[in-house]
Amino acid sequence: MLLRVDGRLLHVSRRFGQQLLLAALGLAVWGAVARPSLLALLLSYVAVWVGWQLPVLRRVLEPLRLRQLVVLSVLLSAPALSWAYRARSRIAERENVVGLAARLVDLWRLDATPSIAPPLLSADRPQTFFVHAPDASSVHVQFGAKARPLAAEALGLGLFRVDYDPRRDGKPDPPEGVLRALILTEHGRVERDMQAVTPLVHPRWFCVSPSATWAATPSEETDELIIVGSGARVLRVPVGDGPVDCAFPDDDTVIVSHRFESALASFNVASGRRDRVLSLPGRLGRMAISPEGTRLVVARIDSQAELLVVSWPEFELAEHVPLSAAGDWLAFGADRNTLLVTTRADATIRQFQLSGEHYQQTRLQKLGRPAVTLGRARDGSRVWIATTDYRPDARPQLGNHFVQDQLLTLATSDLKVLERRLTARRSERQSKPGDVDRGGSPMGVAELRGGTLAVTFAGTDELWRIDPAAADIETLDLIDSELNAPHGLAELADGALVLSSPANGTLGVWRPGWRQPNVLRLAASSAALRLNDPTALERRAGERGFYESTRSGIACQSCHLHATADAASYNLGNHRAIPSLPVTGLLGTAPYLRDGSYPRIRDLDEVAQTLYRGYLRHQARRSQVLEAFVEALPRAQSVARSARDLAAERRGVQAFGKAHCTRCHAFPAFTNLGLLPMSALFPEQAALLPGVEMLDVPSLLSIGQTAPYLNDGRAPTLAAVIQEQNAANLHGDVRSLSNSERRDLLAFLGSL
Amino acid sequence: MKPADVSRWSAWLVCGGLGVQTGLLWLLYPGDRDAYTHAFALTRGLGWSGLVALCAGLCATPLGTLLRSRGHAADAWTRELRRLLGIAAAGAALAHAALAFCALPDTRNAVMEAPQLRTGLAGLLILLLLLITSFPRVVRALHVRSWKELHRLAYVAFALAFLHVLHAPYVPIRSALWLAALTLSVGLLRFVARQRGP
Repeated sequence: MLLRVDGRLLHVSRRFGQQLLLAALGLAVWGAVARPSLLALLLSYVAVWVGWQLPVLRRVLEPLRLRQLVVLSVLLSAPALSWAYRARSRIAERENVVGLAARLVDLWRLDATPSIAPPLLSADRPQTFFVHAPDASSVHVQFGAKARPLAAEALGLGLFRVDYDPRRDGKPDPPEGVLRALILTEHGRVERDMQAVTPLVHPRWFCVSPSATWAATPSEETDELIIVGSGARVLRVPVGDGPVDCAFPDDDTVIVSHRFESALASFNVASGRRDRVLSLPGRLGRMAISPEGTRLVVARIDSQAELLVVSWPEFELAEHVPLSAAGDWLAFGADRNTLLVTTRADATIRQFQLSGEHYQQTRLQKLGRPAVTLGRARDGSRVWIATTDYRPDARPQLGNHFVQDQLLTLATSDLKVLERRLTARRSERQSKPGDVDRGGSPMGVAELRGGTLAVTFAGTDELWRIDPAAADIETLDLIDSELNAPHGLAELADGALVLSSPANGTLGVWRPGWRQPNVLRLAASSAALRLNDPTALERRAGERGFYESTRSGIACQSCHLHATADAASYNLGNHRAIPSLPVTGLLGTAPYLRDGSYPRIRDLDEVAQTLYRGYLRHQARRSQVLEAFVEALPRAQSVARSARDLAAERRGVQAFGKAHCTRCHAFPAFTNLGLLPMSALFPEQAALLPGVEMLDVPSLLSIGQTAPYLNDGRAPTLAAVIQEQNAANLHGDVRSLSNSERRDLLAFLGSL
Repeated sequence: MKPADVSRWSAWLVCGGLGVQTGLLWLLYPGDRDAYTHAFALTRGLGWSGLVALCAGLCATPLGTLLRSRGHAADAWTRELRRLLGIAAAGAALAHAALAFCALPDTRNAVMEAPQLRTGLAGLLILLLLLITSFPRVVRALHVRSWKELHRLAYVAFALAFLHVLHAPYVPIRSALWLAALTLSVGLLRFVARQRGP
């Protein structure tokens, strides 16, 4: 038999035919056994080969000619190949070849020194990168051909750290897509591929001026404050780095807190001019202003949690109020004497009372799950808190992936829960086409004039107006508008309701009597993005998908609060309460989840489609766009440059190497992307579990901000990770370290 | 040199090489920056030795074909070398697995759970089958009529060994991929040489 290949004739021997038949028989046996594993295929082939040795079979098959052998092989293998084709995803999953190409790319990227991590460069914030250049004594990094080279500081063991601030060092070039980073050492220069991302404008929650003439919302991604006035007048004011929140002490002035600039800045609303700046310690979070406009309270959200009280109009730091966990949402009660603060780490709301000139904590109410959002009554007598569950005993609910969206009404005077309204409505309506679920992921709450409560739902794309007197709910459907996944809302003096949609970069103005809100676009429309920036469009669709509720009422957002973590514990299927993980900084760190069971983020869509019963709305390429969104989330910021102790960190790097931490948490990503059996590291824990539990080696980048630690959150601090929870001394050879080396190691880990 | 001499010398060469390598691995263990213990370093080293021997064994036939196409009489050498490298690969893989099972207790527990261990086990099973059928006396005793169809599983073992390496947590990925690329390139020579052959 002759076979034509590339213009040449190949002689195909009869022996080839026999081999083909043997393989076909092996396939046929495999198909009959129908086990989706390569080991089964292998054993089938070996069994057939053993049978091949029998004289009977050989006597039957040997007289056959090559053509007959080929035809017989095709006939025998066809059903098995058909079955294998249908079972290909199961086979690929079982043999762990899903995402293998991406894994190879990630491993190659980390192994080819000098290497750089993390691979994501976001244009909206300062970031810290690590370079592993074992033979180099000096390293410079250039993010794009036209960017200026940035000097990296040597930490030891070939590890270098480089700080990049797009405001100081220039925007990434190109702003989107693959960016070639140049790493320059004394041995030459190499190019490494990174992923550049330039987020679009994201208006979120509003602050409202005292007379409701203005409502403003910061866009952290684009460093601007968006101010909306009566008549849908929109001002876009450039502010400092990473605006988080705003507050109006009067109708002419708005104050903005900044996450990356450690400063408050006041702006004149009419002109947009920056008037005054107040530098404050640490990284700043949300804030609240007292009804009288004389006290401004800002949450400090770095390693030292506290509240910073600023006097107005003096604009001076008046007081530090210590907190045991970082403050999240803040609101004043009826006057400046009462201050309420929610915390995420321990899911509480705390009341502070002004005693003399100082705030003192007077009450604490456990919520069980942290506040998703908080709204204050106009008279300050109540606040509304949206949560995914309410557990005043703080014991975790052990229902599988339990989420129950609800609104709590609390009295500001004593923190008593006045009302608990379950918002998520799931019923048999889901089984009928065209039905939609309601009340998923409440994201913004505001009391309107007349006492009506307005609530936005990012999970089910709607706005509710709840009349407390009539117990009536008026619903505005936003599912097909550019205001889907709505967040903030505010009522202006002229009665207009302003909504924000961060995913779409839009504001909506809804006046009484209008059927639909008027949409104000702050970013390019989806149609324009489809032409000019398809990756940004993917992220936009993915962001909406992140907030979208499944039929079970659960969204990604439910646990991964605002794309970080809610610090609450969930039963993820094995009746153990396990804390949720942040979803930032995931690019290039596959496999995912604690047991490394998902090679790609997109594969997690399987959970939504099966366990959570899928989505009501169809979206093309849902899993891919969700992956695009999540992969573009930069990791939490490292410790600020000013707060670093370089000498201690350098000693910490030496201790890191001495304890063999680099074995798994390899430079520069601080992970080798590996999977290890739990017994290899924590034999005493593994012995308590049935079966074998595999552990993904997580990256240690930003680890200082992701407590609690280890696979079930059993270590509340990094010190507990390396000491109390390392009894077998297999999770790093910590016993070889002196006490001072351990301190240095912790300082280094905390700085990542 | 007679074929029997070739066989004897090659056997000594391969066994001696494996022994020397094992000794070196034991002595040079501190140079393995990822290794905690001698056992771990030795397990890794033996695994790599097995992989290199397997790749070299797969390269022997194409190189022999190439030499033959150039008029060299290299059949006896390459055939014997291929057999011995195969035996060495199986021996190293067996030692690698045995050491991992004995000295690294988690391997025993996780062998069917961890994907890298599962593929490694499958590859090892193939190599053991090939090892058993690599000795003429055993082949005769088992009444095996054609071993060649079974020994073509060496290519499957190669693929499984690489999957095993690529999923392993401590893999120098560049070395592994270069080795795979080299083996596949030399493997292609077989067809090129056959095309250009007399």
